[in-house]
Amino acid sequence: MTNRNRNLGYYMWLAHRITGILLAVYLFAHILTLSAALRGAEAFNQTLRAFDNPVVRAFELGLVAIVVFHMLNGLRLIALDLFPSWSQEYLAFAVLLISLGVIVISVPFFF
Amino acid sequence: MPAGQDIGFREQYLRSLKTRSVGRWEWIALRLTGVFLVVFVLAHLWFLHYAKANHLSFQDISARLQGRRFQMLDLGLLVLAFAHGLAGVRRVILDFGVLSLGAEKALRWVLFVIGGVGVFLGYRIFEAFLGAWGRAG
Repeated sequence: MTNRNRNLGYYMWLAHRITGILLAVYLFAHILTLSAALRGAEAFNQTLRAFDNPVVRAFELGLVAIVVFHMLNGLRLIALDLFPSWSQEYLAFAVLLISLGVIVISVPFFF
Repeated sequence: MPAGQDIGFREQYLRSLKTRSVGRWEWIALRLTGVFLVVFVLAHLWFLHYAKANHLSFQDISARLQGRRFQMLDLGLLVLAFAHGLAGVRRVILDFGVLSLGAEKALRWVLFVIGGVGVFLGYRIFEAFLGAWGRAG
């Protein structure tokens, strides 16, 4: 992987990797926090209440942004596998634009 | 390839995969689980974080999980997310350099065990929500 072409495709590839790693790490964190349910309903609800603050909600919105980007970019990669003639750049811009749109629409759901 | 020809990053990456040990089945599995995850994750986010924005409780989740469809949604999500996530982590690790065949096999087993622990813990949590309903009702 030497002599990389630092074009948009490269940065999308890099972003897909980074968001993927973050999501894998979050998956474990998510399971660990949910495991409060193993200690009973009250312990679980207490954990939920502890997470009910603006800082965690901002974190969750960021998480949604990462999920949506990774999801759309993954679909873009599959589309490029199936239809190699499609424009990589247009699809990349579409991914970024739709991600941004979803994040903006999501704000009222979290705050 | 003639020297200096710009084949583009994506093409270059795809070619590099052919010289390494990323198998065909792995390539397809990562994509298949990804496509299913799009549906599962969207449903998960919608039902848990958008439709009932921030009004969740143990009792809510427990009641919802009595439905067969929600059980399948959660269990499917659990298995798919760990499979896709760890397959992706493996790919990133392999991209850093070619491991020896032994190291690669060891990596596969380590990730398999980690995934197994994750799915097991997730299933225990799933059971906790189901069981609580049985005792309460």
